[in-house]
Amino acid sequence: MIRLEDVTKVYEGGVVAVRDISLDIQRGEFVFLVGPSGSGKSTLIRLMLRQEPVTRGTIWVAGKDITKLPAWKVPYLRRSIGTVFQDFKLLPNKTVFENVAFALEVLGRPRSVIRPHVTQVLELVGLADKADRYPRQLSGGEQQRVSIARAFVNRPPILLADEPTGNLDPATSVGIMRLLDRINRTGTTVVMATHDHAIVDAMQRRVVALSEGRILRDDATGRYEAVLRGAPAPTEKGAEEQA
Amino acid sequence: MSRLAFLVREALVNLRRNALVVTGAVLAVFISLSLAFGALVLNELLRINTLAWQEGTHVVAFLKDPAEGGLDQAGQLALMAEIEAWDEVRSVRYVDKAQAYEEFRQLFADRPELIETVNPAVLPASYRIELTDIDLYRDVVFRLRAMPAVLEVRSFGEQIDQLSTLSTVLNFLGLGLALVLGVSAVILIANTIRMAIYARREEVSIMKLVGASNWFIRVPFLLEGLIEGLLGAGLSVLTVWIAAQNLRTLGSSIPLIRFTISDQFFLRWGVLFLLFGATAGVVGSLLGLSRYLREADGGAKPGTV
Repeated sequence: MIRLEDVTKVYEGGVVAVRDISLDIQRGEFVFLVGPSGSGKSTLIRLMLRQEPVTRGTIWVAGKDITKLPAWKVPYLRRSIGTVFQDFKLLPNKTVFENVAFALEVLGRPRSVIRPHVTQVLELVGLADKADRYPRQLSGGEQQRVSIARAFVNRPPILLADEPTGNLDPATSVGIMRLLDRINRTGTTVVMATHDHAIVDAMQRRVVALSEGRILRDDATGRYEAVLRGAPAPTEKGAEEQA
Repeated sequence: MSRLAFLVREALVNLRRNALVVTGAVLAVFISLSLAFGALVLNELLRINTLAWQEGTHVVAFLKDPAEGGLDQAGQLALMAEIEAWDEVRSVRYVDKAQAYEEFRQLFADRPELIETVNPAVLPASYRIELTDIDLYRDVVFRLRAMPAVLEVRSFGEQIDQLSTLSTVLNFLGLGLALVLGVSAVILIANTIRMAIYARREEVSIMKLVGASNWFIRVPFLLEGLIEGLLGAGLSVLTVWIAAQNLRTLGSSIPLIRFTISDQFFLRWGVLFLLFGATAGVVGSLLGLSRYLREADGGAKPGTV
C-alpha cells in the first residue's frame, strides 16, 4: 500500500530528518512508527502526504509514485488518505457536523449523500448528539474523535495518524486506540507515529523504531522497547520512565 | 452544481461567523472609498464652478453709427448672424442704441446729473459676445477689429487669462487628490483583507490536508472579499450622495457658488466605485491566499534534490 525506497529528507539549513529509509507497508496493516522526538516519525508522515517534497528516493502510495505527482494532483492523493494529528486540526468556525462533512464536500458529493454518511460516522465515534457543537465546546478526546470521523468518513484506504494521543490522558487514549483499531479492521491501512509505550505494548502490532532518521528495528508484533539482548540503547523517553 | 452551491453557502456562513473581522474590512473599504469619492465630488464641484465663472460676456464690439459710415440696423443684425456662426462664438447679444441708453441709465441711476448730460444718440450699439472657449478670445478680438463697421472692441483679456489658469490648477489639484486617495484605498483594502486571511491561515492548511483543491479553498474567500468590497463601496457611494444632497440644500442660499451635481455623475462614478471596491476585495483575497496555499502545498517541485 505504501512503499518507501531509499528516502532521504534534508530540510533547508541542512538538518537531515530522514536518511535512506526503505519501508514496505502492506494493505490492511497497522504499523507503529516509534522513536524519540526528532527521530523522523513526523517527517515520514509529512512525506507520505506530500506536505514536503523528498530530497532523494521514491515513495509509492497505492501504486503511484507520489514524489513525481504534479501539484494539482496532490489534493487527489490526500483524499485517499485520512489524517489524524496531535492538535486535531479541526476548522474552528465549523460545527462538528460541518467539519466531518467538509471531507465529503471536497469530493463534490451531493448533500443527500453527505448527511447520512456523516451521521453514520458520528455514531461510530459516539458523537452523534454533539453534531451541532463547535470544536471549542468539546473536550480533547471528543475533538480527536471528530478528527477521526473526518479522516474516515470517505472510507480512505489509508489512515495516517501523527501522535493522535499526544494531548490526551491515558483513559481517553484507550478510547481513541479502540477507534483506530476498529477502522483498521475494516481493511484500512493505519500508520501511527507515537512515543506512547503503553499503547504500543498493549496493541501488539508491527513496530518500526526510528532513531536519528534511520530505522533501528522493524518487528512484526513488537513492543516499544527491544526485548532481545544486544538491542540498541533505550530511547530518551524510555530511560526517563525506567528511572 | 451542488459544489458551487456549497461554496456560496460557505462564503455566506463565513461572513456571518467572522462578523467582527468582516465589519473591519467593510469599514476599511467604506472609509477609504468615501474619502476618494468625496475628493472626486469636490473636484466636480470645482469644475462646475470654474465653468460657471467663465460664462457671460467675454468680448464687447461697439458698432459705428450709420452716420459715421456704419451699417444700418438691418445690416448690423445681418453681421451679428455672421459672427454667431463662428466656431469660437457660443452666442451674441445685440444691444441697440436705445437699449444701451437704458443700460446706462440703470448703471448710473444714483447720479441723475450724469444721465442728464448724456445724449442718447452718443451711445453706440454693440454686440455682447460669449465664447465657446475663453482661451480663444485673442483671435476673435483680432477678427472683429478688422471689420469696418466696428468702432471699438473691448475684451476682458487679462481676467480671462487668470481665470483660465486658476481653473486648470484647481482641477488638477482636485483630480490629484482623488487619485492619491484612490490608490491608498486599494492598498488599504487589499491589506485589510490580507490580514483577515492571515488570521485564518491555519484553516487554509487544514483544508489542503483534507484534500481541498486550491480553487475549492479560494472561491469562498474570493466571494467574501467581493461582498466586503461591494458592501463598503456601496455604503461610501450612498454616504457621499446623501452628503452632496445636503450640501445642495444648504448651499442653495449662497449665491455665486454652485453645489448641484448631476445624478448622471453619481451614477457613472458610483458604478465605477462599486467595481473598484469589488476588484480591490477580490485582489486582496487572492494576494492574501496565494502565500498560504503555496505554504500548505509542501513542494510544488517534486523530486527536488
